[in-house]
Amino acid sequence: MDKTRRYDRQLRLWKAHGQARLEAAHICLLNGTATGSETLKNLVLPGIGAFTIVDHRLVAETDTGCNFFVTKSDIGQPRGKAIVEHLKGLNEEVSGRWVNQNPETILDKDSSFSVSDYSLIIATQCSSEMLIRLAANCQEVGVPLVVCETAGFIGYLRIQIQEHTIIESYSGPNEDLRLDRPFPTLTEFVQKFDLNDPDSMAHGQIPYIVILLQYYQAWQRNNPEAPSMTLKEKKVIREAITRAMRHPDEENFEEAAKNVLWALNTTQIPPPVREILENPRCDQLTENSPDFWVLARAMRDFVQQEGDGMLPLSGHVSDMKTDTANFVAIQSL
Amino acid sequence: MSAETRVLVVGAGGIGCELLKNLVLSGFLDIHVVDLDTIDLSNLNRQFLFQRCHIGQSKAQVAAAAVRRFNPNARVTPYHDNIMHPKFDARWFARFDLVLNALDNLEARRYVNRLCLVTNRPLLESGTAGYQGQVTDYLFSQLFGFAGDGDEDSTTTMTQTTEGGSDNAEEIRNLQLEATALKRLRLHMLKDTFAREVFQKVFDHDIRRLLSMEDMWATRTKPTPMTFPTGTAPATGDPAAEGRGGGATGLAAQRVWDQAETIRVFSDSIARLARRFAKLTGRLDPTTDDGTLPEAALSETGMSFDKDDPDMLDFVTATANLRSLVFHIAPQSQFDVKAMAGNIIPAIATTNAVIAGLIALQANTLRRCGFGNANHLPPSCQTTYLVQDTTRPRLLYNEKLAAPSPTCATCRRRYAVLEVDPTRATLGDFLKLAQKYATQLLLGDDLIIEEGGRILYDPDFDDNLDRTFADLGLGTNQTVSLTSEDTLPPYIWPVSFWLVATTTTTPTPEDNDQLPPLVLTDPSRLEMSPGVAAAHSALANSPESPPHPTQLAIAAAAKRKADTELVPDQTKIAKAQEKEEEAAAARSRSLSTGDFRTIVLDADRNAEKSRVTPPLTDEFIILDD
Repeated sequence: MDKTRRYDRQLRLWKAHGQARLEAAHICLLNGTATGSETLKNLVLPGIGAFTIVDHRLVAETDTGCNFFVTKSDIGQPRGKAIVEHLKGLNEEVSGRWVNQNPETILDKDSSFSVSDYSLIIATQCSSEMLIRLAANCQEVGVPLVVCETAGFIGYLRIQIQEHTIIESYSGPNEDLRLDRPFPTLTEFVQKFDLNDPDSMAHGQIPYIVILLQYYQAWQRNNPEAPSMTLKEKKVIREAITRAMRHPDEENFEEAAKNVLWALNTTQIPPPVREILENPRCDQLTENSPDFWVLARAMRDFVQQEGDGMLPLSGHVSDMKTDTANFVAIQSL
Repeated sequence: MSAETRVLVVGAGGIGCELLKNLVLSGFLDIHVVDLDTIDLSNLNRQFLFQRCHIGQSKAQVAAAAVRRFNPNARVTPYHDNIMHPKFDARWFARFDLVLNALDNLEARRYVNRLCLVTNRPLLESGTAGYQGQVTDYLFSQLFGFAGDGDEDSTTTMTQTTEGGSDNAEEIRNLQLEATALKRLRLHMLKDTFAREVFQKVFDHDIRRLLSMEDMWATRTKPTPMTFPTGTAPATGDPAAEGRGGGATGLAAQRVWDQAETIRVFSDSIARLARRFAKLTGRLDPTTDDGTLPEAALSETGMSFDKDDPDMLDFVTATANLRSLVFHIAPQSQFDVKAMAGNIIPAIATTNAVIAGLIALQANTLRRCGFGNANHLPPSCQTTYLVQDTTRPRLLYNEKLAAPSPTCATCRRRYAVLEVDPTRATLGDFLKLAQKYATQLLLGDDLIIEEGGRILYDPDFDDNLDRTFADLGLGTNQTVSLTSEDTLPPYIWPVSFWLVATTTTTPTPEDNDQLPPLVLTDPSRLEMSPGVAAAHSALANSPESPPHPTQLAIAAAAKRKADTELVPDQTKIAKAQEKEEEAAAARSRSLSTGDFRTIVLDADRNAEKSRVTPPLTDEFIILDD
């Protein structure tokens, strides 16, 4: 509970599951430079699980001028040890340790060091020979590598990562109405409304979805062969809807006109999603496959079977101009 | 060089901590930091100069001590105080070479900006929210605009609309009835039926009354009144209790409660708050037999909302959600209500570090170029945005700062510091001082003196001239504005005098009289900046609008200034004139569209009856007869 208050401001960004991933992370820094220490500070504060600093140097006068995490009294002490102590002071939840090894030779000299023990390697001030070997090592076991260097006012940052999958549910900017393939209850619902209703009160309460669908159906009757509506046709419909407004304040017709362009699109699986579903990794599922690919495979199976070629429907309907009874009826369709 | 540089950091929070670190690492050795806040547990995820043992202590003081430890040569002076406190007056601000904002609210930002304008200090403004942030450098430029600046464009007269006598009387009677009902309700605070009574009043009775106003619902969805469930007092299964103790972040806090749960939290939290209120006001034992409070209890102070107070958050969440249900609005989880009601902005160390890094880079640049020149807006003034948008290829974007506009109500104002002895200086003294600087003021003869929205003097109202500043309620950190009746609004170039009260320490009145009661600290501030002057002369040269006398005066002054001090190089002058002509031509093109028209009725001057004016933010009509 104490922890959730401490992390409140960041939980609002990455939520509990993001925090859980952070807390499971063990991050290794090669060389306790100022840049490396600053990077670790920004990771220790939000609460990674653990960090390791590989460093064999002693704190020098020059370190104290640019690295906030060593002080003058640390001069002559092992640098990695000093930084670990200062960083641990920032967050008691985080454990930190120091490996007294030269990062340049650790791959050869320390058989207990393995990049696969870490969730992320951050390398600063390493030679290119070392980086090439390190990068190959990381690539082999699938551990991400971040390389950063700074010199005066310039800096450099490079990331090597194999695959990073995230499962996050969110709702897109527009809802999914599928007016081109209305489900039976919606078709039935829409038939209850008359766009020529003489009662102007009722006319002003017709939900825009109904207006759009009726116009769409009329278009379909006139163009039974057309695969989809062209932009020009949509603009004609938008024009017609605007003309059908009985007075300038009929918000429901205004909403319908405003939403013509996207709501009458042909329902399809967005290309980036299709790309994922068609990825061969969906076919090569093993018990070690990441959840992401298992989920993608399940989604593909749904699309091919129950979904009739379409993605599952979120069912979300945002607010619109109509009376409560109609709105609730739409929501419960 | 850096040893003499004195910087002010306003705020020792997320950006402030990072910035203080960067400043001492960059060799700034004289740093003053102001923050009125104390350290809270929720700060520790990013404000790395603070530790658990510092909770409850002053942010400014702990941060100052922490960075001092890093570099004992750095002089870091903390102030555990509000930057808007009068003790931080214009003279105090003038001591700094550079002001760095690391604030979290608009009011203080406006205030600091204003003092930077008045005292001519360069300001670096910044802010972050989640993964995004920005830094802007303002060198003697304008920012935000000021609420209640007394400008003719922004001040509106407070008017009360009354719709006939009888309606008014009924309205008053209704208000009285409402006040009585609320008072009676509050007296029942400690009774078992309190929650039910409040519920019935707010979610049933009041909603029914609203529903009775048919007009209101012609075009919107009607609310549905809600009645308190019958039966025994609901006490068990309080979902808020699951999440309590750690604030609104537990599991139950992330879930939206159903209606029954919400009502239970409502009843429970209102009882908790009522007990606390009674305790706070020392009325734990009701003195009347039926459990009602004595009336005296109600005059005592109430409690104010604190998002970290679980009782209050429960109450606000439940009440807001019940009202949402009544109005068919989707209810929210306690976690989200806390963010909305508490105005919580997500914050992480990384974003603050990036932004503070950019501030420090810019501060270094400014230090290298000697903090700019008061008469120039360096071309480097810019805003840098840190964006989080996966569709964009970059994280950082720059944007040049717009130049001041002569038609902007805030830009065209001039600022100066006026030191006054409020007990001796009269408004007449001020008028005399203003008349002395008439040439620079370019405001003509018919001056108007204003403070906030009130007129202190105009040519037909001289009653206040013998009254002192103290009599008029004017003192430190207030502004007296000088405008004119003589000019047309687009060309008025008002002056704001920021007051600094000089405390008279001299023991005898004789000595006192030796000192002038009013001192204009820096008369050169009455001159307008070259950028705006050039824009004004472009206006004056516009072929389609015959120049107003004020315009001509301004243009002449601008030219004089340009000739004498700004650009001695003849080619530069020629270039500037070329540019001016281009601007005038462009203006006359845009004017021919006739989109913006101001009607000027000016019987006195027999001026043109109608003229096309440059685009302004608001249209105005002057009736002057």
